[in-house]
Amino acid sequence: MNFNNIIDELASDNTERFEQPAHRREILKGWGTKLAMAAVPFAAASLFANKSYGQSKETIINILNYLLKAEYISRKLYAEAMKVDSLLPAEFMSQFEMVAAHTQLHMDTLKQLIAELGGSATTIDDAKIDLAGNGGFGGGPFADALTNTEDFLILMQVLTDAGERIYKGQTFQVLSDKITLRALTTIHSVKARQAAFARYLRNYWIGDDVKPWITGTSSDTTNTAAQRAYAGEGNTTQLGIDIVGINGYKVSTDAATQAFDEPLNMIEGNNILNRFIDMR
Amino acid sequence: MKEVKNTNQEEVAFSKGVSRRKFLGYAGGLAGAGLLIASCKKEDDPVMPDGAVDLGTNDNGLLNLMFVMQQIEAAFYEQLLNNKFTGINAQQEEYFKEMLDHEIGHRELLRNYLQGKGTVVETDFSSVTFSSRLSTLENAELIENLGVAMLNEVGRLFVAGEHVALAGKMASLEARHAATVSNMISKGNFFGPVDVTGVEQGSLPSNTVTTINRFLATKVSGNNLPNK
Repeated sequence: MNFNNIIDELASDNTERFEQPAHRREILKGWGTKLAMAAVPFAAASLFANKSYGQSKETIINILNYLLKAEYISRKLYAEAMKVDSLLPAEFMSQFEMVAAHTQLHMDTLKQLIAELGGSATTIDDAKIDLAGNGGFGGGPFADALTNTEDFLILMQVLTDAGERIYKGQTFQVLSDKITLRALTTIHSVKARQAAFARYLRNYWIGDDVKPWITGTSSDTTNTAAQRAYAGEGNTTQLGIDIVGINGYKVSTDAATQAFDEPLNMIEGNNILNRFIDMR
Repeated sequence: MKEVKNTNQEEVAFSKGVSRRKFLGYAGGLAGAGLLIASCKKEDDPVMPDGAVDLGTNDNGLLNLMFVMQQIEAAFYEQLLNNKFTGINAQQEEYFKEMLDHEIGHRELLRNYLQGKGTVVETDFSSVTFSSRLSTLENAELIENLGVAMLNEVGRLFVAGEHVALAGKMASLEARHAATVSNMISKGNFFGPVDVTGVEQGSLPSNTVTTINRFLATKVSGNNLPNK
């Protein structure tokens, strides 16, 4: 049904309706029960996915739990940030509420996929998440993220840019399970939208010189802990074809790197995420 | 938009208050359940304009669909920059220039990867008023949102993992574009197409083709593309 909704919206020439926060909120409120219904064909379709060739169920469950870890960290960040007086720009509070709601829904989807595959979802207690990014040892490179708006936005940018790349890195690891593959791709673009939102706020609210897209391996911050989220983003070759100046067009190195977001593999992703988990 | 003439038979089918596009929406949704497939013989297909160029089959056909989409996106931003709407600011202009370069990068990559066998199209933006801020931005938003939705769906339809990876690399950038354009129309709007389950649903190739044909002088057909 959601698929039809988007087609209708595209067909209607009326995108205005989609853009009214009030309307979206109404949808979110009223559709709770319909969600359960929507999940039925999803579950049924997964019966076929279970008969997948290629990647084993265990491999896919492991991937889903890895993505779930990223969501736990983000969920705590948004929940904690919303408790702090005037940390988040009031003008954009409804967008932050939406981001938090989407994050929870992504967790729900991942957990459902894990359950359908017969696995058990990892649980990470909020108390075991160190948003400062120092493994629970105190201090940490993002220690000011819950007291300073710019530092919050930098951490949100890092987690969403990395999150989008982390999901992307797993899409082609679950090829044999089309249900999981579709779930990952359709969540992945939402992470990119969240990243664009965080980057916009850094520019609009703080005045930082930050674009909506990633340029080269730049983290767009002097916080060196952010850097590992941008490793590999300087790639200018796709499918063996050099994009810089391609076919005589003036595509610069910067543009060639911006035009494609690069995947992070699980080792790279864990290297980013595990610093936010209490390791003591 | 320009409507495509149908045969008499199809006129009857669509005369009962169901719009053509709506029908496609239903068809797309039901296709997954295995219904309607049998009744969708090629010669009956209501969206196949006479003389439309067939985009092909399998992974190559899907890459070709992506190639056509990128031609539309690049041509759109070229026209936008040649006919800047009243009130465009310096940052918006800078962003649109960069977005054009991104789309050119995508387009030329696909042109080369398809080894010159991709479908080269002529665009038709007569339905867009480039001097109007709202007309321009709303059409840019529609195209970008569709670009994301198309890439979100083809990922699942590709056979080769490297093609899945390529679609992903482009999709997140198009999502950044889409969100940026939506925010220009209405400040704070970054999540328009995100549905109640928190995801950005895909658009099947058949539905994508129907929408992109409104921006094309060279009509295309996706009837032989993977579509379920």
